Amino acid sequence: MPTDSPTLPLLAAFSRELYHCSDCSYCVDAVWAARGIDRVCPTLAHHDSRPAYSGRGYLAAARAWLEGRALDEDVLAERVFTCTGCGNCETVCPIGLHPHAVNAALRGELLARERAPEPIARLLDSIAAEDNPFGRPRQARPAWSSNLALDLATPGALYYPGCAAAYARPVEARAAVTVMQAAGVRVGGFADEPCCGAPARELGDHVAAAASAAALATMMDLHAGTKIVHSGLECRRQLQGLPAQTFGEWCLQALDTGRLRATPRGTPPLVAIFDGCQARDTPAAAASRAVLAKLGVSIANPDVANHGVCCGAGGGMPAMQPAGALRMARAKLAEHAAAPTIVGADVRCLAHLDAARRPGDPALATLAEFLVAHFDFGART
Amino acid sequence: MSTDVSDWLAAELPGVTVLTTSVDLFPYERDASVVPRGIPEAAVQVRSPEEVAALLARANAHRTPVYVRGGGTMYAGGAVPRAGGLVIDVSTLDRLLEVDVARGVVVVEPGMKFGALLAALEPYGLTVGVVPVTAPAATVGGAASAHALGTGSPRNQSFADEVVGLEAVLADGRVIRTGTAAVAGAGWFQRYAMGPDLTGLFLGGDATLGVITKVALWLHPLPERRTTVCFGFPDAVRGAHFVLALQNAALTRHVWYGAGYEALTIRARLPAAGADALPRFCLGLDLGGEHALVDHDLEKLHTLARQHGGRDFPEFDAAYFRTLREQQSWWYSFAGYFARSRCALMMSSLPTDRLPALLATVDRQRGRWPHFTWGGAVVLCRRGLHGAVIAFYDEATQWEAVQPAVAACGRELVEIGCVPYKSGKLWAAEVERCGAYHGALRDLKARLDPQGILSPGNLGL
Ligand SMILES: Cc1cc2nc3c(=O)[nH]c(=O)nc-3n(C[C@H](O)[C@H](O)[C@H](O)COP(=O)(O)OP(=O)(O)OC[C@H]3O[C@@H](n4cnc5c(N)ncnc54)[C@H](O)[C@@H]3O)c2cc1C
Ligand code: SF4
Ligand code: SF4
Repeated sequence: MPTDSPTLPLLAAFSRELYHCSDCSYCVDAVWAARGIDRVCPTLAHHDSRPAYSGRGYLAAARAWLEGRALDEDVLAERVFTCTGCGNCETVCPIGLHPHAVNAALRGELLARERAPEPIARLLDSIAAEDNPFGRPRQARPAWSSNLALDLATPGALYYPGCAAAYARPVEARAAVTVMQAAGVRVGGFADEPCCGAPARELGDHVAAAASAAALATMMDLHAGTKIVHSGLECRRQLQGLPAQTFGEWCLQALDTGRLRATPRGTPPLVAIFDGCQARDTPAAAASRAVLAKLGVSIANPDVANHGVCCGAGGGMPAMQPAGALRMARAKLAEHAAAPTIVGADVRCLAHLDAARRPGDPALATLAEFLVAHFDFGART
Repeated sequence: MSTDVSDWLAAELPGVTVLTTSVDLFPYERDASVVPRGIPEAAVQVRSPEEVAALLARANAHRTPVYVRGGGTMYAGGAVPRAGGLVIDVSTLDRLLEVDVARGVVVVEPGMKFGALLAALEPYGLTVGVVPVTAPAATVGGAASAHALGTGSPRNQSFADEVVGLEAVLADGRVIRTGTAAVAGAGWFQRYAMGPDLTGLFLGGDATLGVITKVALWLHPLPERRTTVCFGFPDAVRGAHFVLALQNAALTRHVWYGAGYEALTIRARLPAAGADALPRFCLGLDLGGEHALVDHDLEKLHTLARQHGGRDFPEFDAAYFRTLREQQSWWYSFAGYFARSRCALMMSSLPTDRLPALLATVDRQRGRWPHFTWGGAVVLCRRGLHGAVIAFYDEATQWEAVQPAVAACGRELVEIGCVPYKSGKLWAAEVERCGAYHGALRDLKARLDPQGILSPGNLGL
């Protein structure tokens, strides 16, 4: 077993796991109703059914590569960078292996050999040059906060939108700040707000991701002890170690402590909740459901169902296979069509779903947007 | 004719999507067995029975070996492309074709996963008769071709017994239907009609005589009530007598799953209990059916167990059997098999009275091959048992060493009266030893697949 491969160090770290895999194929296209799983891998279900795109396929390729077998690195890169990163394969593995983590290691190795497929290279260039994966100028980032009275000098909490809210859905960022301010929070932000590194990490550039996280942490030193409230669920891992919580978690806490009081303007519409896969099985994912339930909003899908199947916004899918990403989004919209409004826990997913929306599809809102649209707020007096 | 598979596929079947890069083919090299990998030249994920027929007809003309893969979960290497060639991946041929509630028959394409089938039948209050433990990933066609067993075996015996009829493509591309559907327009409603049972040719056939493209199965009502019970015995001999007694009394009729565990497994699940206080053999039963009938049978089972020196063993039920059952009805021990390492799994049929001999064989392997961890368990059938002997090994360092151990163990199992069950390549040598029987198989093979393209190596053919 090649446990110490000088040429593929990231993969070598997984060699025990690679040889433990039983080739049971659960991570390929298993159907497991009791676990809410209907065909595990969204890439196979919506883009291309060949197993080389699945968790098991990545493990098999990693093993072969470590063993020095011949393979076309460009083909491998295409398969590897298409993965959405939903993590479904890890949820389903009966023996607890980590095919998605192996995919991340493969990405790292391929990047080290400059094998990023063209669309991924473009994203990485954008991250390197402009600190965001949307190809937008860095200077455009603060636009989301224009005319918002942020308290930069003595903030009670720092709001951090993340790239998706800042660039693709500023309405979420503004709504989040509105709710927080309505609860009496002196909301501040970061001057020259940096990316946390989540997009780079997702694409396998672990070095850039770590550098961004470190830069953000340094910036936080200036605000020692101040809590960060963020919108992007994908930012969660990068913010680990900092006093951070998602907007949903903040909201739940504020309602629980009575800091935030919300009164519906009329009867809020029935909603279907889309949890997304970024924060699965964490309090952050559950928070949106808990907030809406607490506020008496009727939820069409109270139980999490098929929760891991990606909407197409994740990983390399939107860049590598836009048509596949669109099919995933349409499937997600159809799955949640039981309600006139879908509330999404993850702003990046919401932006992606919105782009795929057709007339007649449910309306879309993030938690903050939904609250601002249907509730009046008051702070504890 | 040319032998380069991708060349003739591209030239003669241009509409078919062919996988040829090594990255795309790595996942087809192995299945969940210990059998050494084979390296295919190409793979096709088929979309229709017609595509299967066209592929076989052309492969036959080119004498290209063809292997068939469903979920790839079989532990005997049936889908491993030992002779290279082409892999036909039928997992993409996975539609539910018909639920005929009136006739009590469901017809599916072979790539349908049991997980999907059970979910589709649940709203009707129906299920199928035998479901393997690997239901989320195993396909109906793979189960038919590999002789599945598992949930339902105590009531219904083998998966083969639940098959009403099939559609299969022969090596030269001809399509046949078996059972009553052999008559055009009649459909599937009975297995036996018009002469011998041709359905059986493809059941347990490991894709050596044809490729299954449709499977018709009997439907059964979902049980009203389900409950588990475990009985402990001082030794496997008394355990075997109890099993024989319950089989002869037809008390398997409401048992959906039954498994027998040896002393080591029992101790591993109840580490706090002193070994002396624990039974040396235990049988877990999962009963299902109408409330009153299940209660009636439970009472009889308790009495029978006491008569055979057994006792109620709720500790094992709570610590293991029921827990697994509750996690997932068909997922009894899947994760346990692989939790620490990969395993080589030999499944055989055995008469119930050979149960103690099977467990003694497992013990002998422990002494003989101490580098591997050995385990043994039996699955209850309506008649007889299926016995699993498992060697856990480290894939990275022991994979070669485990091969002779598996072969030697297989030999011993046959010597004590066991019969290879899921055969594939793992048991090929033992199948070949069955002189006249194997000769007849070879004759059939020569007739139906004269070029020998279908799954060379499986069943020793
Ligand atoms: C841990 C573990 C536990 C298991 N438990 C059980 C169990 O409880 N009961 C049980 O029965 N099995 C069990 N199995 C074995 C396996 O899951 C079953 O045999 C299953 O039915 C195989 O289905 P598959 O789709 O994975 O078949 P594959 O492995 O893909 O194929 C099995 C055989 O059938 C052939 N084949 C596949 N599709 C076709 C087709 N359409 N036409 C013709 N031939 C075809 C293949 O060539 C191969 O020879 C277990 C395996 C493992 C690893
Ligand atoms: S992370 Fe999701 S998309 Fe990627 S291989 Fe796993 S299941 Fe498929
Ligand atoms: S589910 Fe786990 S053990 Fe099974 S093939 Fe995938 S990684 Fe391997």
